[in-house]
Amino acid sequence: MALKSNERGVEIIAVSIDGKACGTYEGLAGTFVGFADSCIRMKALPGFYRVGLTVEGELKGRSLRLVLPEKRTQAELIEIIDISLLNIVAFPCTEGEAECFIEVKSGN
Amino acid sequence: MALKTAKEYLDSIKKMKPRVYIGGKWVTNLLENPVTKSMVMANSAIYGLAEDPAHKEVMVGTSHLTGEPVNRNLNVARNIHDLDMRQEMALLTSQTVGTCNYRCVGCDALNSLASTTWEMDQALGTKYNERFNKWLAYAQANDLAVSGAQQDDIDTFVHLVEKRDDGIVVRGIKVSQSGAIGSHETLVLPGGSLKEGEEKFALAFAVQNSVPGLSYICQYNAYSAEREFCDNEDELGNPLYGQRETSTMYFDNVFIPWERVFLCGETKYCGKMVTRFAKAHRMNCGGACKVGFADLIIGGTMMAAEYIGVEKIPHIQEKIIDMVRYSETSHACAIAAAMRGREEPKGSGVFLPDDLFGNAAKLNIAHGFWEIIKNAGDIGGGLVVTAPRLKDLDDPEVGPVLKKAFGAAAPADKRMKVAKFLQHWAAGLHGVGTWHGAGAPQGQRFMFTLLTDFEAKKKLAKKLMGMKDE
Repeated sequence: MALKSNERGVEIIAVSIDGKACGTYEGLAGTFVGFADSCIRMKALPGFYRVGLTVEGELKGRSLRLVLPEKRTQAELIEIIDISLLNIVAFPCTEGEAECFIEVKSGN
Repeated sequence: MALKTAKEYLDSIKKMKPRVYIGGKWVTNLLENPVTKSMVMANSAIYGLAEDPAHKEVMVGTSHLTGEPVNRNLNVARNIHDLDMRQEMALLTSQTVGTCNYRCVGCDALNSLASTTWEMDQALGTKYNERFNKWLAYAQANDLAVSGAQQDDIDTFVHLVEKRDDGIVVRGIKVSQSGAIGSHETLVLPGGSLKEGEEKFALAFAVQNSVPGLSYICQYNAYSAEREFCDNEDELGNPLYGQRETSTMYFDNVFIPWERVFLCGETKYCGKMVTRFAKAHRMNCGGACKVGFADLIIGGTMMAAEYIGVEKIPHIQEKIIDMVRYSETSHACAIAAAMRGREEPKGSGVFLPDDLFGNAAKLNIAHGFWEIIKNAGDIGGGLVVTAPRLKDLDDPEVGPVLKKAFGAAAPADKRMKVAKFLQHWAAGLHGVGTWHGAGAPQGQRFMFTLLTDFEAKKKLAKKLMGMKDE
């Protein structure tokens, strides 16, 4: 009863920072809605719960727009999102077409 | 990647940021706090065992989902050999780290889930097993450290708060969770059998350990303080891996996507899920893990006897033989539980150990472990609990006094090192931990009552006596 790769139940999430594509991640299906719920309902990134990093998120279909507080460099934003996705057990990947999108911007 | 190395596990944990509280502080980095670090290092050593070709047979299985090699901690037992290697893994890991294999409970939880979700899908037409298999394939592909959570706080069982289109929101408390802080995910099972009307507590799911809403309040005790404040961890009984680290998991309205939910409301199956987890865990925890601990204690006790110079005295030898007897009897029960294992339920392809032998393994070691540590304390002598710091041997004034006081057939430093090791066991957390781990003995006695056919035994006796049935 071996599962075929398209039956693995994973999803690919593309991340862009300030409009620039910066990586894709693979997580178990449901990872994106879990990430979005964290950002919108809990106002926290996975791995950054109650550490003073309150985020604002807006979900449109399978696209999450995310604003992080304070002015941050692109490198800082990439590092935060990379850690956050790892903390929801999604890992960088190079194969597969993205079906979920996270757009990140820093505040002023 | 099917098998993570110890280094890859450590690298992944460096980036994990679960919300962890220990001894009055919030921990920002698990590897910087000496107590949480000991738990992570133990998990790392478990990953390391799978890298060693000498332990491949025990530590590496074959995924029934993909045919790929997988860490046995994420393997579903599909035959007797798998069960036997599973209990051997419990023995090996305990011998290696002298504390929990913190992936062990997760392993037994996932075997129970594989069995019970299959049965639910057959009976109810649900898709839990399909979901579970996808989650498991993902966990195997990324060799995730998965802990297991079964024990609820009685006043605040983990329960359903909201059912949404995309998942569920849960709230409540799981207590005494071994090694959850240093895992990637935790498998949450119901706390016990449930009845109609208790649907909101009937939950099984996988949760990532750093999701917002989830916090961990770690145990804190004299051993935590000793590790936190000592100058040199070499002073401690188990320098690298410590005692056994658990935490209370607090779910504060945590969202779980449906893809991670493996039971939601089906009270009828909670008892089966918990019982199947218990039968696996009693074989492994009782009949193998604690036997690995016993091997370490017996080794330390033999050294203590030799260092004092009493190893040839008959009553010392007798006590050491008794320690071996308690220990190996339990291991024999674990091997028997594996060998008499069977597919459960029929058609699922999942093998679970024999219930009676598994319970016998656990009940035997629950009592035997106290005897083992009693004898360790007896032979090790009062020094087991009265030794000064090892570092004090280097003090210019008191060092020579201590060397004179504690030198015997071996120098004082060796005797004191072994005394600290035995203190870790005889005056540590493992006595009570062994008693309650995999369920307190009253649970095993209850299972003995259920599983033993006393009428059949009476019939045998009557037949031999020539007594006729009324």
